[in-house]
Amino acid sequence: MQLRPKKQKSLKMTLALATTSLLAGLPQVRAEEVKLPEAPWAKWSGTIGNLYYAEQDRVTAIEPVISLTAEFSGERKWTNKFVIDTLTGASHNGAAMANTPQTFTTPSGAGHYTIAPGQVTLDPSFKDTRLALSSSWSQPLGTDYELTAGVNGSREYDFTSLSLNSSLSRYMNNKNTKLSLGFSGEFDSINPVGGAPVGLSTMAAKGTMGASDSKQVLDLLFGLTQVMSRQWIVQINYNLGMSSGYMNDPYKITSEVVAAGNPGAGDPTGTYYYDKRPDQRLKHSIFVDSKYHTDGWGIIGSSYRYFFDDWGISSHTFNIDYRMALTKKWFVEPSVRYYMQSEADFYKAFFSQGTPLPDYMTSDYRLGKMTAITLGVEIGRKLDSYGKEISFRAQMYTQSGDSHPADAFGSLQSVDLYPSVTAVIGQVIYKF
Amino acid sequence: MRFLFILTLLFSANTWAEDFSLDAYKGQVVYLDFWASWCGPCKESFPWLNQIQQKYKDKGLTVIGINLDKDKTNADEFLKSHPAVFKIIYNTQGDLAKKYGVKGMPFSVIIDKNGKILHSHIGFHMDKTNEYVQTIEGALK
Amino acid sequence: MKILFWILASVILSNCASLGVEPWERDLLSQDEMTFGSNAVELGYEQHTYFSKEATSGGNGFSGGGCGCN
Repeated sequence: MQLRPKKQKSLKMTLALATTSLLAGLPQVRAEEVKLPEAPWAKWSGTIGNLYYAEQDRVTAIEPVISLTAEFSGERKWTNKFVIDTLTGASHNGAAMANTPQTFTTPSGAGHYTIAPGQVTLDPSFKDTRLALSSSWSQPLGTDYELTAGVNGSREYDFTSLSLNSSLSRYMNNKNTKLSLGFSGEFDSINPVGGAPVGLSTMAAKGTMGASDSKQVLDLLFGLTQVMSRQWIVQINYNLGMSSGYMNDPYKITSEVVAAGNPGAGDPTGTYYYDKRPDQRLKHSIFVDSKYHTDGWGIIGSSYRYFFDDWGISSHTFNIDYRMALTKKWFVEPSVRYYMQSEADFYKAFFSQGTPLPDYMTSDYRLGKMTAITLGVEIGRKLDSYGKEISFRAQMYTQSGDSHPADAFGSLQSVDLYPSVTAVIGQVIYKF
Repeated sequence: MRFLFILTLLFSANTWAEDFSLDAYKGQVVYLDFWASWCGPCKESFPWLNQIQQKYKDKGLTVIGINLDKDKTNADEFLKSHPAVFKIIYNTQGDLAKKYGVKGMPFSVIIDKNGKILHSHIGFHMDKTNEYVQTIEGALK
Repeated sequence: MKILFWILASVILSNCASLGVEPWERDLLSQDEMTFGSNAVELGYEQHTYFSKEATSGGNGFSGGGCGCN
């Protein structure tokens, strides 16, 4: 797409050319004949995508995206992205599965729902729509540096987030080496339905800390990209993240169960404690990414990330994909991702009655010990030689943890304390 | 010692695998354009190169496109969709690129009538073509 | 023997120092698919999905705010 060309420039150029023609003694050459092609004001390109994510019996999400990039002269780039994210369905409330019926209050406090014995404790009232906008500008600084600055904003009914980021890259060694340094600052405000519960207060006597709370995140990123050979490129990133503020999940609870040795040991007492997490978190991650071109039909991508934080969580993530050209236009790309994480120090699948309440406690399955596998295949077609492309991707994501932990007792031994999650993901991306 | 001598000989024989010499263009202003089929800005530069070649041909400008594709067939395919009215030289070995110190793609060198390098630039920027034209015209005077 | 060793050593060293390619040897590297983060929308989807389902994130650029968690 070409927008208005620069008018003055063409005039100046034709004048200059006309003058030289005259000087060269060729007066018969008229101005319009010496007109040379001109730069468009901006070159536009974009991507439209849609994501469908559906968990068995739980959440369904639809996430359309549109991203537009304008490229200006001097390799300056402006990218804008708009995302809508709609979630509906049921969400795990954190309470342990039981052999007796369990009744819970909805987050708003206005309603109740009952979970049958042996069923996963899902809060059926989950619904959310998120809007996100981001804009970023990048441009070279001299011949060796590149500067990027961006802003992101997102809003959903109980969460508002605003972030700023910037990074500076330096090219070295004939552009074979790139060093990057970046930072991002994020400011979040949380307004949970029914107010933010006081951590570790009980569902029956919910205390709230007011209508809203906040959180700040500061991220630092250090990156190195190195061309290894004509076929191989590698990237190493180190990311330090510092969060402070409200990090509890206001909708998650922990079950209190009858202590071991008592009649009905392991059965819920009917008391549920609200989630409470530390208000500080320091995260480190080291990420290595590699792309290898077979110089024939394929590109092999592989990456590994090691993560650890001061909540006691560490994780390993492995990713491999292989993009194969089937013809000059069609390609297929199978991919596998393997993820494993350890649990947070304060993760508890249940809380035993009569023991002292810990400082922090969560039963959020996402902070528990788990492994996850994603299997996927993408198929796509190039529509021209300038980057126009359409692709479709289907993935299956399975998350599983310790369903029968060693410390389970009584009736807890006969229930699933970490119900697994399976999701199917469909994705369409059109680049133009 | 003799081994080294043979090595040097072998090397120099390789360097000029393509018989290209500026001597043939003495008295001409030469615009050398190093390009490859996979290079995006090269596609943009071709129409402009065609036009300056046509425009200044009679005044003594010779545009030479030096192709640096590893595989010549890729270059030929490119030329089908982006025809060139200027001279094309294939330098699959890349020794000419090395000789002229190509630092990015495309890379252009403007050489005056006496064979001296007047100017060189990395990349092709439509908004900088004014400067390129001025240099060419200066050299043609 | 000594000379051979020095020649070998210098060849290896110079190869390490000059890791990378000449500008005209980027025929494969110049492809979009060989650029990290070139498929930004797909990367965004992945980061958002895993950020919502797992305790750990980060390492690969900045994933802008918002949770959409459950």
